[in-house]
Amino acid sequence: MEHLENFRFHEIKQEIEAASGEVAEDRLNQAIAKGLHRAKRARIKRQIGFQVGIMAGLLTLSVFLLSYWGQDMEGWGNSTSTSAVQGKNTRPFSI
Amino acid sequence: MDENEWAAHARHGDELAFNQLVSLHKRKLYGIAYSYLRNEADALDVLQDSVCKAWLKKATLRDHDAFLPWITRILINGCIDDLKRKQRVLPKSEAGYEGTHEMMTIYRMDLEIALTHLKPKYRHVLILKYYHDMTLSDIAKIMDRPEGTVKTWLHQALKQVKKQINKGGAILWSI
Repeated sequence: MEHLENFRFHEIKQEIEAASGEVAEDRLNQAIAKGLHRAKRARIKRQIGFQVGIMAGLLTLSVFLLSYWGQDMEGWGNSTSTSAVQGKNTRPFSI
Repeated sequence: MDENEWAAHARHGDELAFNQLVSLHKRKLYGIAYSYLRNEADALDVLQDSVCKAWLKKATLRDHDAFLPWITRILINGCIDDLKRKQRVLPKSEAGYEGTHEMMTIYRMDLEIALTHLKPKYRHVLILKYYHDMTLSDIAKIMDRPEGTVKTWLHQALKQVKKQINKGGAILWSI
C-alpha cells in the first residue's frame, strides 16, 4: 500500500477537528443532560406501562373467573357440548 | 475516582458517574457524530439520543474498561440510523471554498464520494483511523472484531478508495 499521507484525509480531519472545537460547551452539556432526562422519562413510562399491563391482565382474569364461576352450568359455554348435554359437571374444580 | 470506577458506578445506576464519563468524552463523541453527519444540529441530536440509549442499556456494559468503545458503537449505530432515516448522501457540496481552495475541494469531494461507495465496515474503519487518529486496537474494540480483521478491512478500504478515485478520473495524489 502506498503512502496514506497522500490521500486527502487530513483536510476532512481538520474540518472535523475545527467543528468539534467550535461547538459550544453548553450545547454539548445540554445534549447530554437532555439525553439523560429522556432516558429517565422513558424508564418511568416503561414502568408505568408494565404496571398498567399487569393490572389490566389481573382485571381481565378476575372478570373471566367471576363470570365463569357465577354462571349456572346449563347456561355456560357451548350448550351442545357432550358433557353439557349429558349433564356432567365440566368445571375443572369446585369451590 | 478513575474512569473504570466511574464506569462501574454508572453501570449500577449512578447518574453522576455516568454524566462525568460522558462529559469526559463529549468532544470526541461529538467529533465522531459530526464526521458521519457533517451538521452540528444533527450531531448534537445523535449525541443526545446515544446518551439516552446508553443510560437505558447501561447494564449491558460488561467490561468497565470498555466504556468509550461501547458508547462509540452506540453513537455510530445512531449516526447510521439517522443517515438511513434521512436518506442523506455523505458528501456535501460546500460553497464556501474559493480560489486556491478549489483544487482541494475537488480532491476532497472525490475522496468523500469514494467513501460513500465503500461498504459500511470499511467506511467506519477509515473514518475512525484517519479522521479520529484511533489505533487499530481501539477500532477493533469499537467494532467488536479482532485486530487482524480490522487491519484487513483497512487495507481493503484503502485499496477500494484508490480504485474508486482512479475510476472517477481525478488526480489521486497530492501535488
